[in-house]
Amino acid sequence: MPIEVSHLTHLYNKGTAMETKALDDINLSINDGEFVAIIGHTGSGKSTLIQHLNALIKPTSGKILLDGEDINADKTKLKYIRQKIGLVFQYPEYQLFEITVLKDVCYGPINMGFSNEEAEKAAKYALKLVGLEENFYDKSPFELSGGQKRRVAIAGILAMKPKVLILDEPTAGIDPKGRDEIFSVIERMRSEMDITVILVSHSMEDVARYADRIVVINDGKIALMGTPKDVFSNIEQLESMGLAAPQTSYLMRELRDKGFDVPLDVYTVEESTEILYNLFK
Amino acid sequence: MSEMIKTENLSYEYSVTYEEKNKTTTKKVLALDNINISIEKGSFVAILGHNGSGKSTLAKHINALIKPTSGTIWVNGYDTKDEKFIWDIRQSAGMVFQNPDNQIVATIVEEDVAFGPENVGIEPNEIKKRVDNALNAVNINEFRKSVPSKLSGGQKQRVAIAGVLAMKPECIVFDEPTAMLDPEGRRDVINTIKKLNKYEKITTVLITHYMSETVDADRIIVIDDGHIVMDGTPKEVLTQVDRMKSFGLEVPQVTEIAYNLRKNGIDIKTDILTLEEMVVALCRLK
Repeated sequence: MPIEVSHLTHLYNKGTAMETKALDDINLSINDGEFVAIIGHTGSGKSTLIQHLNALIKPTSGKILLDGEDINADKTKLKYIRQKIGLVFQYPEYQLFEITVLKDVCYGPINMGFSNEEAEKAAKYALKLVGLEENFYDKSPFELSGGQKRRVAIAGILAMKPKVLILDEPTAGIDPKGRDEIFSVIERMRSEMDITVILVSHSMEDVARYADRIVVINDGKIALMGTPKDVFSNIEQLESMGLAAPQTSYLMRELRDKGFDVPLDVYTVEESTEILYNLFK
Repeated sequence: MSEMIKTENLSYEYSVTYEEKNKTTTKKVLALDNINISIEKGSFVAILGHNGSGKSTLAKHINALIKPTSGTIWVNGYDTKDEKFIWDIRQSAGMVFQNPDNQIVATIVEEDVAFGPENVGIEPNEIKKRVDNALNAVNINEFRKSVPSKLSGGQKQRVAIAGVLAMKPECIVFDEPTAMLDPEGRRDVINTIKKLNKYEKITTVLITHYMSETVDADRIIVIDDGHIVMDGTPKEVLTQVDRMKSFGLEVPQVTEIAYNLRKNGIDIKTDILTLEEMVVALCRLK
């Protein structure tokens, strides 16, 4: 289910003195199975963009096509679209409310019209995917750690069997271990469910490490787009937009300035270790 | 130097009630277990620990939002269990949380900063002076007439800090103040925090998951399962890579790279915390 964003513009408070252009002629295609990261400073328009992808807000002009069809053309199809394109909001654990983990994860699929049996099956599958086994089913969601709660919330969306999953800062406020767990969940659902992932993040290290493609939004426009290598080679431009590059690429630049023969497109601790080891062994 | 915060055998226990296998169960959770710390006035202390380790519970004790179930905590000399000191304690130790939107109440920046002092009945002239000082201290004076919702995340968080500063606290507890911010916002807020500690002599307690934010602290305390498991300077704590990982934490990237190189037989020192130190150390290897 490819997504095609075509000439998408969004004005807030249209026709008033407060009118602001949140999105300005965005064109973007997202392919099946792709892992796309969206980065941009607060207020750049990235949250407005992802809310359009899930038909939560409508374009002022332009279109969003899912499988070639305009997602806003037919109101009766909105439920179907929101099932196919799941959105995990920031701090999704605030939305947990049921008395057990299993019931909470069943809530979405039941609402989508799954039978109780189907919903439970889907919920168990989703919980397994996020790494929460049977012993968690009857626990209260409020008893879990921050990272576990967040994985329950993600399972709640996954249980609806989406083809596209949008995650808005899924690791904000989560400790390093919890963050690694969330990324291994994302990797697992990509390989098992063949899902397309759209990730909004402020962590340059994470997007450099995991994304196939990075879209940089600035002032409502796409400022840069490409592989992590392409995007992070523009450090000055990124910094002028309130962003940065991963710490390891600053290290490599410093070393290059000091005359060492090192590549600049290095984003992880493992890669850096290997390069420096080979240089100094 | 005298103490800003001191705890003696501080423990905090709460019970959770939940339904399991169709029956209601109540379980006791010991969030903090016999904590003994002392934090000096004017110092910059970072507290690390995984989600659920107890670090936020400790932070809330400093502001008397919660009280020990056993043991004692003194904030600026006041025992938090004594109700009559509650406002002295909250005036001594302010708090800044993750989400700036939850901490901003007014529709204009300067009014938001004035909200705290107005509430406790400070003279208008004094309020004006405090608001000016607070806005300058966080470098946000140019936005004093702005609507907070129009500001960036980092700017909003600095407004929230200014609101706390206007109460003239001696200590500020920052509970993951950068978790929601973009890279520039994170840098702005951390630089503001360091500046307030250095020039305004504000005792600073910083809770964070970003290890790079702790390298300039005077001291790092690591909490795990309600216990203090590490306590020392950044060089002492952050360089223990395996131990930090065993607590679900990490170390700055350059520290980990140096540690990996050393493990593979490269003769590099392992007490490296910053990019600059790393570059110097590698240049020496040439």
